[in-house]
Amino acid sequence: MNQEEKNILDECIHLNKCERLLCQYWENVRFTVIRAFQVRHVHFTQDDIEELRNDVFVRLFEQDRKKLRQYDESFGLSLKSWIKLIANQTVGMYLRKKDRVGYLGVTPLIPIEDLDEEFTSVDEMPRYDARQILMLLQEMMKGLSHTERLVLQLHFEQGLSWQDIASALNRNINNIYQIRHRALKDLKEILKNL
Amino acid sequence: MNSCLDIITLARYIGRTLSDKEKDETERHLSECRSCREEFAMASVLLKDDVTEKSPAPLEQLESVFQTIKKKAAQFYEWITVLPYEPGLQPLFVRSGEKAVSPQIRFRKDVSDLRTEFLIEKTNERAISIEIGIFKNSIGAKNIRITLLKEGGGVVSRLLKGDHELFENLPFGVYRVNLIQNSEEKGNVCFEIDETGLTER
Repeated sequence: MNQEEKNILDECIHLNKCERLLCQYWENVRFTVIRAFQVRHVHFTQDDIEELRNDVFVRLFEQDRKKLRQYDESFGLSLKSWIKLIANQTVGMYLRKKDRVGYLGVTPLIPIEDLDEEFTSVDEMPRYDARQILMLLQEMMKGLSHTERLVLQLHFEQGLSWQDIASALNRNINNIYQIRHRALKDLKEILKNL
Repeated sequence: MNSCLDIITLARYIGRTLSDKEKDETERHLSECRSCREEFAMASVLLKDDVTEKSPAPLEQLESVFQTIKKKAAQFYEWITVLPYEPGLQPLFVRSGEKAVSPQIRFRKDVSDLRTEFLIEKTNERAISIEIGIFKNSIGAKNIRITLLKEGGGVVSRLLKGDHELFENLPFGVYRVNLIQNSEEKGNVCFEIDETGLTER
């Protein structure tokens, strides 16, 4: 954190003068809110952006500026990154509350027994089979190590590239490929025996 | 680790400042909790966005939105009338001739490295008293000058004797409590107080 950022933060936390902090991070928060919608592939409006941008600052200033007081350089992140994390969390909470297009997958999968009754036509059978395999895969993934599981989940569920996963987990890309190779080999082996 | 990751753990994981054991526990939790995994995945993408530094927005354009945000973030405390406590009396009630304690508001605030405790009492329809306690590491702070400034005029400044200071017979209004220790300004606590309660400013 440079001296200017430190002054802005201190002024807001200790003197309750937060105008400079608002001005300094106003555009960054707006940009982060937009990106937070984009990376989740969720439709948004200008009103959503304005509402969420204001909500981020409300969260930073409420409870005696608790979220700003919590920030510590020893986390290894800049103040800007900390504010981005709060912005990302705010958007996540907002979408979870609204459950836009069920993007979070909050709606649970329909149990197999119920599907059996619903999908009786011949056309639906391949989809039914696919779902069964998907559920089996999910079950089989429990047999993998948590690192292997996490790497596959971040790629296949969250849509991160292998390079992004390597950077997010602070691992070498070759290490990620090894983990992927091992995990997929194990899963294929199990699938072969189906 | 069963409960969801708090934002500090997430920040430290991304900032690579967790111990190996904490890191392992965090990754295990991420592999088991979809909601945390989603937050982590999105955060890692957003933090990677290397946008050109945005220049600060001019305050004149944001003045009104700043006031709206501050108002939304401000905490409001209502007056509470505390009834006299008598052990063994269930339910608690006020007998004729027994007076309830005046309506009051209590709150704590951290100002720099000092902990302040406020007890505000509505002494009559138009007047309040403000008692301020100031502590450092749970013991009374030393060499503190408390200055109470009322918006629109009125200043009282006192050196803290003991660990509490009482300011009496004050009108409703907007107050700023400024703290100085050993000639170093520690900060302010600002609030507006009226017949409905206290709003932070």
